[in-house]
Amino acid sequence: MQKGIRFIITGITFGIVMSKSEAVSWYRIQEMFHFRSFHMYGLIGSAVLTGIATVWLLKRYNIKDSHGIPITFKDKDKGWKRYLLGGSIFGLGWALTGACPGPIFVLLGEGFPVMLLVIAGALTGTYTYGVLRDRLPH
Amino acid sequence: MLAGGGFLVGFGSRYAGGCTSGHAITGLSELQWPSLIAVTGFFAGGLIMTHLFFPLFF
Repeated sequence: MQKGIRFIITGITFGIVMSKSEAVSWYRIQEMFHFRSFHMYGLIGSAVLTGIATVWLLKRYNIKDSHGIPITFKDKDKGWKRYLLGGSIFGLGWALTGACPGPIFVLLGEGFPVMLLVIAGALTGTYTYGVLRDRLPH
Repeated sequence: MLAGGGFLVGFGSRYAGGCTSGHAITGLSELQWPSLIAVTGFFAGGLIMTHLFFPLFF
């Protein structure tokens, strides 16, 4: 239980940030794809800048996790097909539902039971990927 | 329509090996090329849905 609490606290914090920053808003995401507002660009941009600084500090000072194990970063697999094709499919769904995998749960928590449909669809999608995996270009 | 969108999100994030958090935020933070390609894909897909498909649906 002691172990699990860290994850729960981090998850709750992430959910609150997503919700308060309006990253879970279908309208904010539409605004972004219409280039009508700086909101989402500023949000993602500042998150990436904070991330770059954090990753740099973690590497620079060889920071260890709470078990004393060094934090390492694994390079993503090489190639481009899966990233471009999978990414584009993801983008279609992102614009349509206004939610990526994190926000679908945040929105459910905000009191939109209709998100259960999106979650069911997403689970079907991940399952289908598993079935088709060997036949897709990666 | 929502279930279909969810399907695309689920399928796409598994295929691309990450979502907005995994590629756009953490992947770019680690300065990984594959993540930049994936983010380009996210954006391309989003623009196609918004500007090509939405006018057909609604």
